[in-house]
Amino acid sequence: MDKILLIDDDVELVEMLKEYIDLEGFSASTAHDGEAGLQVLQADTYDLVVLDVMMPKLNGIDTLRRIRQTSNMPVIMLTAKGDDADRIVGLELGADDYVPKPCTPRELVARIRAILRRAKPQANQAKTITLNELTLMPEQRRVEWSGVPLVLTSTEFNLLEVLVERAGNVVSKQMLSELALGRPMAKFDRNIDVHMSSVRQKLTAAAGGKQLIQTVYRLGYQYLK
Amino acid sequence: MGRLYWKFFLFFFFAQLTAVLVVSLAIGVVNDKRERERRLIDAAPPAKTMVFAAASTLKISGIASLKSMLTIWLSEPMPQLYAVNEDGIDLLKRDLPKGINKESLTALTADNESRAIEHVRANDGHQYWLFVEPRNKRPPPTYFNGAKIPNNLKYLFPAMPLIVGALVSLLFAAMLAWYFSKPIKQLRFAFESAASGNLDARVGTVMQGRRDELADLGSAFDVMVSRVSQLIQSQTHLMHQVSHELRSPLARLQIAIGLIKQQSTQSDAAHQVNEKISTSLNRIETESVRMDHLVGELLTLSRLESGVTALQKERVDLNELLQELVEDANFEGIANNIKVEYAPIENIYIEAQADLLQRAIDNILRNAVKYTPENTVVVLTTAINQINKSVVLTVKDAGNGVTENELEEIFKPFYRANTSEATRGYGLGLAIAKQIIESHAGTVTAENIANTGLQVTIVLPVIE
Repeated sequence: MDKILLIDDDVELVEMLKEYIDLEGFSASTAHDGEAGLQVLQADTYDLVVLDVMMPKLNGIDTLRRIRQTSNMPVIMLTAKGDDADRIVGLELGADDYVPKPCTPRELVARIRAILRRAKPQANQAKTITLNELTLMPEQRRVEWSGVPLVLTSTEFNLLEVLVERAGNVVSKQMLSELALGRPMAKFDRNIDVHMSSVRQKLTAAAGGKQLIQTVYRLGYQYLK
Repeated sequence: MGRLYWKFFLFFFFAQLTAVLVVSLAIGVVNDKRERERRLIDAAPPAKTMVFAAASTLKISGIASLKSMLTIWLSEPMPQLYAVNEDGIDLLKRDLPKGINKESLTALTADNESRAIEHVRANDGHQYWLFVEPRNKRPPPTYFNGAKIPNNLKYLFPAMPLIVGALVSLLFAAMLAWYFSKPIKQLRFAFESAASGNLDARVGTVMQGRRDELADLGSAFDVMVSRVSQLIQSQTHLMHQVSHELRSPLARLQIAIGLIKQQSTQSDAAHQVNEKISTSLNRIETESVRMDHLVGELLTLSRLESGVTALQKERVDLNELLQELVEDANFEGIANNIKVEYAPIENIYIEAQADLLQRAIDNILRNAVKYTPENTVVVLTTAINQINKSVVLTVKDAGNGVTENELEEIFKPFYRANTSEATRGYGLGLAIAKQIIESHAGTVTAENIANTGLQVTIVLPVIE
């Protein structure tokens, strides 16, 4: 059973959400501020964190920054609707996805499922892909460049995997969204672009300045063979 | 320099010039009389003494003594005293100085405050006027305030005070006009700035040190603007706060609905029995989502209006952005057979926060699709204006347009054109679009195009 940690300062909301999520077949725990959340995370391992941005003590952005210092675990941010700045900052810091708040619990659970499904190594998954210096190991969800491990978040790994599997071909943003995030691209969605820019930065740094991923005008992204 | 400046300037200049002229004329009249007197006789104190001595001699010792005294004086190098009787004949039979005759002597005597002339009855039965001939005519002055006056200006000299007066009054008029028109100009700038939305405009700083009614007007303006700014801020803050606070109960409401639905679907029996309840629940959920959207739009609007979040601008390919929107709008229009036409002509790049701008244009485009009749076309065009480096984007529908006074109203929150029947949306789309476009230094206007429909025009600055 997947363990999910809900960090949100709205106690009533979080209790109801926990009830809903538990009934959907997960095991949910709660914390009501960022610091408490970090403590819970240290004490136990979780498969996914749902993190509210607006919180007292330690806000969601800072909490995410702290989580990312030690872990690449999947994180979904709950952002106030229309607050684009928070959303972009959250994604840039390595959140896997965001859900505008308020949202229906159905929506949230769908996102949780999509992220978890793709965050886990799958039995029927293809074997290790090796492309020049790049080695992608889907079973372990690990990436190496010339033998040096590359630290990617779950969503970043998914994106790179989708691109590398289709190396040399252009993959549209819609396709990337569906395959890597498990959902169709929403209107005005910058999600893919933010994640891609992060993947490129990490990859370019590892490859010593070499540009491996290309933006194709109006079409999408391409991993250069 | 504004009109007011020149009005002040000309007014003060003419006033001062007139004053100078009047005063110099008046002085001229007085001077003239004195000058005449001075020219005919000598009125200086030594001359007066001479006249007094002669008069005393005549009164005490008689005409003979005066005659011998004048004879002695005749040989002295000094202005000569004349004794002229009523027949106009000098006692020593000398020619009279120029201009002296019976009439002028009578006139001089009548106006003889300075006692430079005496009229004495002598012991020979005649009456004598005693006066001293004028000194040599004074030459024109050669120095003025220590500076040598050039020869050709010498004879202009009587006009000199007038010229100097005119120049000085010119200078003073200019200064005075500047003194009055400058603060008014500053006030005008402040008003214009405030009217264009900059409520940080203040005149107190530029009018520092001034203490008069204009400065009072300036500080009254400052007070007014800061009050208005406060009111607007608190209103925006309130709206932001209200929308924000509405979200928490909404979020809980949505989860509560989710929970009920979850539980009712898990026990099939209950679901069957309560099908009506289930329908109502769906309705409640839909409405809460709608309310959530509305609150979200309100938050977006208030955030844009207050300008709390800085724009994250980047270089945006406008054609790419538009094509995406046109595809979506076309997809939505399929049901009513509405097409959106757009033919990109050239590359257009602008500095913008892409998602916001996309949203703004999307709102306008959707609005057009919403109000255009079935089986019609919405036309989107772009054109570059090279002169002011901007792109002019138009969205034209085939609807009925709006009335003239609604052309501005449609960009206000919650405004709905009267012509529409059933409307979806919350009446915030165009207001948000306007805010976004204006925060990108652009403008948006609407106009009715005869026989075609409503046209919305967006102007945005372009970059190379």
